[in-house]
Amino acid sequence: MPQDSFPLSYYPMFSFKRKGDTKITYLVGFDSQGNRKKLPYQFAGQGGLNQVRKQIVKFVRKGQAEKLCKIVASKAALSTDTPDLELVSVQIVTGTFNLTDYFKGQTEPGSEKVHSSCPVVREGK
Amino acid sequence: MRGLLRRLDTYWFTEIPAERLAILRILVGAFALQYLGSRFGMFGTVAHNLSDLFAPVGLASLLPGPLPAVLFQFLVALTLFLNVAFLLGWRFRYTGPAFGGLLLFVLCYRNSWSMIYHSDNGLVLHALILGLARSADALSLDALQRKAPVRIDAGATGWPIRLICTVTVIAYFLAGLAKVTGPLGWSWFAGEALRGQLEIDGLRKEILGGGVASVVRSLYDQVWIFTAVGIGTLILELGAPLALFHKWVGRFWALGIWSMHWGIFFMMGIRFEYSLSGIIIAAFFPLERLNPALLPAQRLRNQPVVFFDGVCSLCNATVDFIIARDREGRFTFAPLQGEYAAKVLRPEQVTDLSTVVLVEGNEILTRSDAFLRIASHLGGAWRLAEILRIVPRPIRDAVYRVIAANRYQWFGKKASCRMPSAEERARFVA
Repeated sequence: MPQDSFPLSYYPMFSFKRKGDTKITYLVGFDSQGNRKKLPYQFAGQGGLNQVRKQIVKFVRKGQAEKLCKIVASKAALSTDTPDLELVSVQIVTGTFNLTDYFKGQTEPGSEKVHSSCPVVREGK
Repeated sequence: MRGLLRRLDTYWFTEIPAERLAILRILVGAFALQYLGSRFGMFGTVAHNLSDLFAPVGLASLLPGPLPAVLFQFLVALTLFLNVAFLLGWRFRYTGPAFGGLLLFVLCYRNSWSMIYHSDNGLVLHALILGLARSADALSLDALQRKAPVRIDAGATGWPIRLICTVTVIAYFLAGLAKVTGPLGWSWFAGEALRGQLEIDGLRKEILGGGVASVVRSLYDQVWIFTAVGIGTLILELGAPLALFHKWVGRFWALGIWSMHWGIFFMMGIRFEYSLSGIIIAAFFPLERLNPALLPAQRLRNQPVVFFDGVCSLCNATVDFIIARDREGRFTFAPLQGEYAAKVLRPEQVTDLSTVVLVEGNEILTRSDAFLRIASHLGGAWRLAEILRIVPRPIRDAVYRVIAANRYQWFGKKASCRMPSAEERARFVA
């Protein structure tokens, strides 16, 4: 399939086949008790949701999940977005979701693959 | 073939009031200004992205690598400055093309970081067309500061509007084509493909912290809604080219597209601002009618009006010729030197006595176009004059110009404007 361009496009996103199972790469944080929480996309980069989502995928595909993990960890160290959760580590994870099951209430992924884990290091601690 | 060429000629080069093009320039300029202005900070952060993520598209592909962040921010600031000049129509000959070109580059660069925002396509193409056209001949600082009247050739305001409509239509048609030629094919008609699109969009939003896909969840089991929306969307997209063939089809299509984007907004929460604003489809509508004071050629009566050089013997003979054959009394006549002409025509059209001006409906025709349209209304064998449309307009108008330039010398000139006889008075406006 030819590469999409701008401002002339052939709108390839409408040609993608949506299967029953789909993979999404996302960010996960853990506190000292092992409680887990999905982190918002803003921890990974600049721009809107879809732009950052594609950047996350690009990092993983290029084998740079660890680099992304460190970026997320550094933002988590400074962030006040998760006041209920003092994050001690973060992960870059790809989960496989069944679309039908997800919208029927089964919101947990069928399987997960962890690409990278790294600690959240706060200055002075 | 001849008929096709004639239709193409009429389609692309029919004169449309300069005010419509000017209103489009103002709408697109104002939208671009708020779009760029409100994202100035965000564009700055894009410039600081990691170079690993740089995936250049469009004009940015010409770059050897990412620009220094400060240079990109300067270019965005320069684009904003040119945007203001574009909006106001100031030194438009230079600022119009410069703004169109720079906006194209800036948005190409912005879209070169892993994500292409297709919603920018319409804005940048429309701004580019308006920047290269004579969009500031009316409602602009240039028009206010102009000392001498500008000469507007027939079609100078028509083609940019047609081109804007055409690129808009092509974009939607390609989107529809991508759907039915892709692996999902005609399943888009069944609604499941559309639901799949909404599902995956909603899933991404929820997992990545972009909000809750509440509409998808609440409508999930109502497949008929997705079927209806899927069919409606495909009809609008694949039927888009029809919008170019008739103005009313175009307007209904445009309203359908506008409604579709509001539907996408309510169902998916996706805010295609340029489409939601309605500016993307504005070129399909006679915008100048929003304010009758802007109309350059308001008609006192619902009839075509022929404006002619009142002291030219050839022109007066032509008027006599038309009156003798216009048995239905279709035409009204007015001298270009009269008060009515000054009231309803633009100044440059009043001062240019070398052409007859035909005002019919929303169209203003000059030179050979006016002559051929008048002949077609006379009916009978005079309709055959339409055959001359196979001759390209520049050649037809060149012949017209030669005759017009020598009309006083060859056919004579009256000392004063024609005074209609008692019988003719009902057909004339002074």
